[in-house]
Amino acid sequence: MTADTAGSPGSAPGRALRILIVEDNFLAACAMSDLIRKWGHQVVGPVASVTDACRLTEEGRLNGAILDVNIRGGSSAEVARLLDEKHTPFFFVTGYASPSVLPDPLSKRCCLRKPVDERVLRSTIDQEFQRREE
Amino acid sequence: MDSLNTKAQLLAEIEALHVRLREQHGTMPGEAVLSTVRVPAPFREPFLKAQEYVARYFADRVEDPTRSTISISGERYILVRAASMSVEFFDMVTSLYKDQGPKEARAVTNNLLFDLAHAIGKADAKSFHARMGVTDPISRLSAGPIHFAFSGWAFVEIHPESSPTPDEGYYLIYDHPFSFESDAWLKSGRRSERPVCIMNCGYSSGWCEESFGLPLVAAEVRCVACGDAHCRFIMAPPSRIEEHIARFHERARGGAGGTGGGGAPRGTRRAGAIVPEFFQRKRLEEALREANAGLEERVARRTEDLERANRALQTEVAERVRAERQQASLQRERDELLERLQLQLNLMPIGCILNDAQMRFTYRNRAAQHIFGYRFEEVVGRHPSELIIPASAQDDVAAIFRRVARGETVAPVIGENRTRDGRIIICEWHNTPLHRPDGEIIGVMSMVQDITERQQGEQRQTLLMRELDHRVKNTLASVLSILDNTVTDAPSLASFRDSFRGRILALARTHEALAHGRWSNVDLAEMIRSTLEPFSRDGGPAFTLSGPVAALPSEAAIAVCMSLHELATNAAKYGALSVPQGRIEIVTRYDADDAGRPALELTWSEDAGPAVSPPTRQGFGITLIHGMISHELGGRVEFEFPARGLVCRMVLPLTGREGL
Repeated sequence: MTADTAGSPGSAPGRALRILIVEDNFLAACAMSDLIRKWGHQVVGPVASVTDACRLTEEGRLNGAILDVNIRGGSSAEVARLLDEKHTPFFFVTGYASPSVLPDPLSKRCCLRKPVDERVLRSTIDQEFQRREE
Repeated sequence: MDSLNTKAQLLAEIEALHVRLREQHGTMPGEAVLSTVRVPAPFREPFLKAQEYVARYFADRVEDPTRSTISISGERYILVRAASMSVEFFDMVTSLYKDQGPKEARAVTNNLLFDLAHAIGKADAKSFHARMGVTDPISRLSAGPIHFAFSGWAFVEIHPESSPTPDEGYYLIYDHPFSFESDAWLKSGRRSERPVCIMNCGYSSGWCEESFGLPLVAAEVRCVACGDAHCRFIMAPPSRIEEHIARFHERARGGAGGTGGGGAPRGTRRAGAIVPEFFQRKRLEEALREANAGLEERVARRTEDLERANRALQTEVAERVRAERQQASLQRERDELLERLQLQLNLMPIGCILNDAQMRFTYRNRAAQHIFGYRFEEVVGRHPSELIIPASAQDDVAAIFRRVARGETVAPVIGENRTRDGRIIICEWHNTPLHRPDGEIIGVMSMVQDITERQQGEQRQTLLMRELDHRVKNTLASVLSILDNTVTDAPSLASFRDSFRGRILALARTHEALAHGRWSNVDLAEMIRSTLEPFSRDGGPAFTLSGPVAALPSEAAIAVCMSLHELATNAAKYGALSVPQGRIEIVTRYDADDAGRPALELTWSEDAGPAVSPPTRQGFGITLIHGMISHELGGRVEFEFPARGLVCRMVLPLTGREGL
């Protein structure tokens, strides 16, 4: 299983998207990656460090990103700011009840609670990433 | 002048002849004659009775010179020469007192004779009243003039204008024809400058005083010895006598007609000297008695006032003593209460501070000193903003003080304070304004608690709760992920059940170990034993563990445990644990990772199991181990497949991760 393994593009309702996953919990990352591939999108990552996430963001060609709020005890805020600079849409997922660890402007952004419901994840990807492409 | 004088003398002589005629004629049949006294008509009856009685009294007279007695009705009398008690007595006293002058001699004589006669008059009156058995004043008076006539002193003629009432109005005006005193002066061939009938005055006033029960004196206003036609007397109470004498002389001057006209010019001339000293003395005595009585009354009044004042003073002193005792008792009670209050305040675990209306410190208890570190002398009289309010809180506190000073009870305030040694602490304040009954604010009482530790504890608690929530959610996400992957991987439902169950239990055991270590560092050796325990065999442990053991962060612990579980599961199915003689050796050592950071190397080596070869496909177990160690921890995993058994080498970074 590698990052470049493609799912079946035919199952996606819109066009296939390149989605970066930043999640340090391996099992959670696996589960999310499997679902996203199943829906016909391409998974970039998953990565578990800010450094890796920023590198992949710089490389570009991303249609969206899903960021765990906490990565290895730190925050993914730096990645979020870089994504905003690149006009790349993203949303957060977190195990915390409130996204209070994020600095203020980011705490207003879309944030899903773990464990993420499959249908919520899919509709959020469609809303946040497909719309930006239009 | 001489003719007038002669006329008066002739009238007197005619009068005397009338009397002798009546005496010689004797008593006319059927009519009693009042021959020994002359009184106004209304007094006639009692005087007649007295005359008869006194005549009888004197008729019984026995003289016995052999026994030297003169006895009258059994009473012994003495005979005295009239001249020796009047003119000669006067001459003798004058010669005795000649060195002190005639005035002093006259005073002595007059006083002596008057007092003597007054006493005799009183005594005779008393004796006669008893003998006669009379009680009314006029009857008592009646025997006096008659006794006078019988005993040879003088004849008495009471004038009709007399008004002998038994009170201050008593007034008697009378003549003494044949006064023994003036007679003695005339016989001696001398004239006196002043009236001479002193004993007559004394005797008559003494008798009447006794008869009326009223102090009385008499004065002679005309005297034959001075050349007057009559010896005339006035008797009155001592306080009125001068007034009567003055009126008499006034009348004599104004109406110098027939009566006593001859004596008028000389009377006028003598007017100033007529009042004998014994009147004055009598009056002085009376005045003195009155003054004495007045003095005694004043003394009594004053004494009463003093006693009243004394009683008031004693009452006041008693009151003051009582008040002082009460005050002392109140003071004691107050001191005790203050002491008890102080003790209670000092034992109170909560800081208590009192400020005056200007918010200056006036009191703080021991707990408050403990919180802020200031001694009482360092804070008293100073404002909180100088001492315990940090710059950042000055404005907020000033606003609170303004509200408290207006009398508002402010809700508990939590804020930062500064201690004496400069620490910033968090305190909870309850500020209550102190009112006097009239509503005036006299200060503020503040209760304060240092809640710094409590707040930190609460913050830690909040953090832990959030962390727990996070872990539970991550764990559930892991379970879902394990489920999905195990399903994908499992050839049968039974196989899925075993694998899934084993993985979930491994996760559970790791969490148990983490909870045991309070979610911080976990003892690696303990954790390895706990993870591999389900794989132990009857013959004893199939594992050996050697090398240093480190305390791992909780994320690393989960990853390591899950990985070891996967390795053990694989060994039980295909490797060393699938045969009885198979063994597994776990060796740890400190190392550095690729980036040179401290790391722990853990090597899992199987031995004596079935011959192994590299797997043809990568199952979820290997994927999981790679994911856990490389992805989650940023470590490294290598697998080797020598013939004697699988070798798995993990490099676990010990630092380099932010947080935890």
